[in-house]
Amino acid sequence: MAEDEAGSDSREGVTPPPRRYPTSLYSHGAEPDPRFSLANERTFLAWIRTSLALIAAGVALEAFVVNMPAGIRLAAALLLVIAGIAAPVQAWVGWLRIEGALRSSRPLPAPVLSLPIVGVVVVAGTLVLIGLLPWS
Amino acid sequence: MSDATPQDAERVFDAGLQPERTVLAWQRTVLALGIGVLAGSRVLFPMLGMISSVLLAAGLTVVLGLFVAIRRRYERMHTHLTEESHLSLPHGAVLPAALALFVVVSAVGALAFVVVSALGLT
Repeated sequence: MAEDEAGSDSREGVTPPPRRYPTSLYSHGAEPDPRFSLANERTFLAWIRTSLALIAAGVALEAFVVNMPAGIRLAAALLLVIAGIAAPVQAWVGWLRIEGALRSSRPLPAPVLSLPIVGVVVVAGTLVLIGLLPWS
Repeated sequence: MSDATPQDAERVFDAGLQPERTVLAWQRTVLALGIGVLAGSRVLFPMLGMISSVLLAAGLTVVLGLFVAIRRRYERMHTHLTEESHLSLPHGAVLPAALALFVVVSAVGALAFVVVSALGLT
C-alpha cells in the first residue's frame, strides 16, 4: 500500500511523475505519501470554505442588518470581509508550506495567519454584539 | 444498472478512501461557492442591475468548470494511483490556485460592495 511504496519514484524503470505546478515546489524533495498530500488539500479546502463563510457574513451584515448603528455595522462588516480575504491567502500559503515540508520530511509548519484571522473575527463578533445591544 | 464487478469495487487506492474524501471536500466547497455566486448576484442586483446577471453567468461558468475539472481530476488520480507503478499524485496545484484566486477576487468585490453600500454611493 501507500506507505510501502511512497517515494519509490527514484527506482529505475519507473515512470517519472508528470510536470506539475508549481514547478518550484515539485522540483525539490521526494514524493510524499499521496494520502498526506490529499489531507493537505482538504485543509486548503477547509480554509476556502471558512473564507466563503466570512465573506457571506460580512456582506449579509451590511446588506440585511438594519437595527444596528451604521458605524459599528460597517466596521464589523469590513473586518469580516478582510478576514475573508486573508483566509484564502492562508489557504494557499499554508498548502505550499505544508507540501514543501512533506516533500523534505520537515516538521509541519503552523498556519501563520490563523491567529490574526481569529483576532479579527473575535473583534468583529464583539462589535456585532455591542451593536445589537438595546442602548447602542 | 451498474456493470461494475466485485474486482472493480476492490480497486481502491486507500482503505480510508482519501481520494474520495478529497473529491467530496472539493464538491462541497464548489457547491458553497455556487450558492455564494447566486446569493451575491441577488444582493448586487439593486446596485448593478443587469451587470449582476453578467457576473452571475461568469461565476456559474467558473463553478461548473470547477465541477467538471474536479471530476476529471479524480478519475485521473484514481487510475493513476490504482494502476500505475509509482505512487505519487498526478496533478499539481492548478485547481487550488485558481480557486484561491477566484475567492480572493470575489472577496475584494465583496469589500467594494460593503464600502459602497455603507457610504450610500448608489
